[in-house]
Amino acid sequence: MKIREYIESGVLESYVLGAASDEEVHELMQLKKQYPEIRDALFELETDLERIAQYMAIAPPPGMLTKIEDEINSLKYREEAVPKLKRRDAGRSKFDRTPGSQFIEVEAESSHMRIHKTWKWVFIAVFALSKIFLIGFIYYFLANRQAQEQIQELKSQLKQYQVAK
Amino acid sequence: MKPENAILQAKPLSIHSLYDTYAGMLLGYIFEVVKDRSVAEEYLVKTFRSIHSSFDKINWAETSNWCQLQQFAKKELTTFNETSGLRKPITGLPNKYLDRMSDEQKLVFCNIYYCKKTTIELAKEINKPEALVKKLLKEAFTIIRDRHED
Repeated sequence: MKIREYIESGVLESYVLGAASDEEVHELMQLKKQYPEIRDALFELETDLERIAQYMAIAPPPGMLTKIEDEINSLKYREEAVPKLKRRDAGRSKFDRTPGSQFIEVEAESSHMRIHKTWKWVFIAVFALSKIFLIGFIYYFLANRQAQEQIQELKSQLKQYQVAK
Repeated sequence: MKPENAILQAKPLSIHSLYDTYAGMLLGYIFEVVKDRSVAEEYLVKTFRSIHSSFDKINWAETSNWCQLQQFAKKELTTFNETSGLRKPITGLPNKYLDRMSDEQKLVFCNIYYCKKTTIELAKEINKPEALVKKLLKEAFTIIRDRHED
């Protein structure tokens, strides 16, 4: 094969623009390994393409990289979230608790709230304390009422004693 | 390979390094296809998302980074190009490379550079032999190089 003619045929230009057929690409990759002239010619064409792209470049607006990062991160999150949801929903109620889980789920009006397992003991303690205070309140209320009745009785006895005297 | 390019090729690649070097070039390229700044920015985001998804599968040593990234942009723009048919060469703003090309050279270069068309497809579309399309494409590249060296 005459390499100069091959280079002049325009197939290298088609390749760098992604416009070559599969057969042409395969042949070119083989020839590139064998002939440094082809490798150099390809490098020159790639440089030409970069030049025209640099000439026509437009500076991206500020915040574009953040937008791209957010898009990539949301893609990652979606990829991670989908298998987890599938695993949770497989054959179980969505309110089921995993035995080893560090969280308990509390049902709200429209969605779920995940809280740490230790809050369970705080809720129990608050409930028990509220009962103790309630019992204490009732006890002191009754004791106070009894004391008031006794005072009233003593007062009436004292009045009767003073009248008799 | 020139020394500065060798350093660039050897530098560990990341989305950040690709963005720093090529985002402006990609945006300019996409803008020439879609002709709308905000649409071009949307396609730039899509292109980088697509690059990120295939990052580890890409053989970065096979060809230049720019050629690889341009193929990603072309792929994203496929649906846009499918509806627009045969692309008219760029007119309007002066362009030191394209202004030197003849109408035929410009038509061939722009349709292959901006659209994901093979030389065979374009030859059929404009009803010319494939060899002529390749010749015109080669001439267009010669003009780009000559213009740069002027």
